[in-house]
Amino acid sequence: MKALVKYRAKVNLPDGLLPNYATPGFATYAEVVKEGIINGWG
Amino acid sequence: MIVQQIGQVVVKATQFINPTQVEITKNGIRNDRLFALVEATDKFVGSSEHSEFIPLKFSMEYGSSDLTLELPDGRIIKEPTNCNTQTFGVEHAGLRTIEVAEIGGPWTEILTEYSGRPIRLVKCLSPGGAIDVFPLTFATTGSLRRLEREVGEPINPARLRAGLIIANEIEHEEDNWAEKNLAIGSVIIKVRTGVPRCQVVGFNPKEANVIRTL
Repeated sequence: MKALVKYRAKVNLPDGLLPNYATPGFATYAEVVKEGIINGWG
Repeated sequence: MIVQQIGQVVVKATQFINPTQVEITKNGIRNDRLFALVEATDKFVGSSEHSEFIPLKFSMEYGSSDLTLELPDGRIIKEPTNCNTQTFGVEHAGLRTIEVAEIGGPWTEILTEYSGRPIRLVKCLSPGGAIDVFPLTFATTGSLRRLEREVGEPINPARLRAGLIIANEIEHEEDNWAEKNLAIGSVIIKVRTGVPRCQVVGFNPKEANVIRTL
């Protein structure tokens, strides 16, 4: 299995929220603008 | 946008589950990371110890205050989650302090027996429970496919511990979605920043063996 440390380039994450981290992972943060129900395929 | 899979962890640091329907509130997925495990030092179980507790599968039905735990040995425990009146703050990864209250009943005994050290179950009283930064996280199917190509084997989305797996086949297109609103059925979310790399991704989401290359 290949190491993935070089796959995602280092970036400056916006907002200064996590200043000690610079390597993005594989998910993204979001806020909720409008509440409701979400269905998944399961 | 269509959600392919929903993910949730009722007790932070334990096994990720995949409900077919969830309620999204301003604080994220209802009941997501509502509870956490606390060490004798009054700190949350750290990321490096998640693999120890990932075999524990907790669930909670909507409208119920009962928590259900499926242990690896097959035992199933269903108990109420009555909080102690005394609360305390847990400093969380330098990001914020989360107010918590210990849950009474058999939980401390069960968790301590399981781990071999004092572990308490607490309810997170602060808005958003034990989330790290923002209420929701998501990943996309396209980025998962890219990750699978890089790794060379299928990746269980539960490794990412993201609340939503959104069907979008353009890999990492979401890197350019910051500040955009996405409609998912009647729900609207606003995209913020990427989640930093986390060592928990390396843990098998059920058996907790480690893939250090992730």
